[in-house]
Amino acid sequence: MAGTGRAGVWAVGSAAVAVGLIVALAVRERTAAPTDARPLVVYAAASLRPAFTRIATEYEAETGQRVELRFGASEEMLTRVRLPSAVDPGDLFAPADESYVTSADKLGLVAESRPVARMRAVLLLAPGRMPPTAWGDLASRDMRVSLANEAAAIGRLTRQRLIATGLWRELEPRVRGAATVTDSANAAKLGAVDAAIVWDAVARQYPDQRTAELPELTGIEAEVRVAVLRQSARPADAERFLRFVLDPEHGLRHFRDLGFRVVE
Amino acid sequence: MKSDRPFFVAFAALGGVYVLLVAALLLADLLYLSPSAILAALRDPNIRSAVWLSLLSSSLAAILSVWVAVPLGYLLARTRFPGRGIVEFLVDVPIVLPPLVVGLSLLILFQTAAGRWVQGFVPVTYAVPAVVLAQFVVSAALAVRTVRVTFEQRSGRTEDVARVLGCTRWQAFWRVSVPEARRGILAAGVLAWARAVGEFGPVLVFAGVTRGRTEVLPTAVYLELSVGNVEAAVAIAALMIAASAAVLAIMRRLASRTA
Repeated sequence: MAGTGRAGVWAVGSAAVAVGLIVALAVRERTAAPTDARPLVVYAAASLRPAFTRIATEYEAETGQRVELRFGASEEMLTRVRLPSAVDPGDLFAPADESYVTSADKLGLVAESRPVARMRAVLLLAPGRMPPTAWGDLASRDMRVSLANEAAAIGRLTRQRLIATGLWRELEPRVRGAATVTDSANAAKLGAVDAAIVWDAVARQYPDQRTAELPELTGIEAEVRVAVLRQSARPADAERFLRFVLDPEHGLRHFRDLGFRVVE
Repeated sequence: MKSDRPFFVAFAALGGVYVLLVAALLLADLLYLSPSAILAALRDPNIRSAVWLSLLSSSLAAILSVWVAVPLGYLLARTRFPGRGIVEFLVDVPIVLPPLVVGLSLLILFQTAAGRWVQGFVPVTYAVPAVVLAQFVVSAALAVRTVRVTFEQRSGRTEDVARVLGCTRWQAFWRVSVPEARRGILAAGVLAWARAVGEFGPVLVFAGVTRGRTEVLPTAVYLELSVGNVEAAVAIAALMIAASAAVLAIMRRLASRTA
């Protein structure tokens, strides 16, 4: 290192460490994702992770075909589907609710979609809170209620319904906005709010908290849909996985076990 | 001579508010934490994989950041060139942009013809290189700022003296400028590493969350929160704090020895 002194030794040392890190990451990548065959790529909502992890494990065991689950928020999944990679296209899309599949369909991205489960809006109470017996209790008990914003189906459908029935004006001052339905549920779990309006399927992931099914929330429903994407490089395999998800003995069984009201 | 005490009490009170706030955050996490959740997190192969990927990728991103920050920071501090203002603006963009936009921009970049060409050789999106690149883009911007300020604080006179005494520009840089700026360069490395290990938005959008493959600690926290598993999320956050504290302690020790 003539001419560079001790600083040069540090520079070369850091370059050597960087090369070592690159090698370590490459080895790790090769172990995690063998390059024998491209897996089926499923963009799934993070909230559906328990169901899809079980389904993918079973599917891999039965067919020998690898499934790569890529999780994220539904709106972010939609962005990825809109920006398909030529070398790494997605095969299936499973967002948290049907509204994202509808959006993808309008953009011409969906080859086929099928409903898997239905969800309805319920009130998830913070730990230790007693369920309201009537809608008026929300006001009389001065309850703070978390609700996802309008980008999420629960936020949009709840607002639409309550505006139509004239109840929104009463609820609005008590509403604390959240980005997603799970953010709402987590706010209730931590006691940051007294209750959250969430899907029943989401509420079942919080077994230590009570839920209330208020008549005023009746009719606020959505479906979980799974779509095969047009960009899929292997549509036949994607179709096969979709059938597996819809099979009452396979995919639907896992959804049912996790508390979803499945569509037979 | 009047007592200095009121001065120090006032400063300690003002600064102490922030220190107490951070301490309270950690204490609140600690009180929420259950040993069983920590054990479960440690036993989970996906979480262990996320710990390793976080440590390896953020270390690589930090080293690359310093390698970029030293020449760029030096040029911005010591030279005047056409378009300097534009370069300064561009370097600050990753700091100013919302993290999700950084990730989205990277995703769009790799859909262009040039991006696709690169991906023909090395798969980037939704793979480990995407994790490193997402971390690097933001942490390098912070490292450049730090190194630049360090060089600006030095007059450059010793460098000039070295040149008068016969050193070439390279020799003066390596033997005088870099040793003088070593504390700032180390601080830039530490800052870059800390930022990289906590990077979430760009990694989420650009690298996605594939368990055991592109999942890093912040995205592991996000995955647990998304199914209401707050206990596991806090346990992973605790692992993240412990791993970060260990690495930062090693870096500080290294820095004090170098100093």
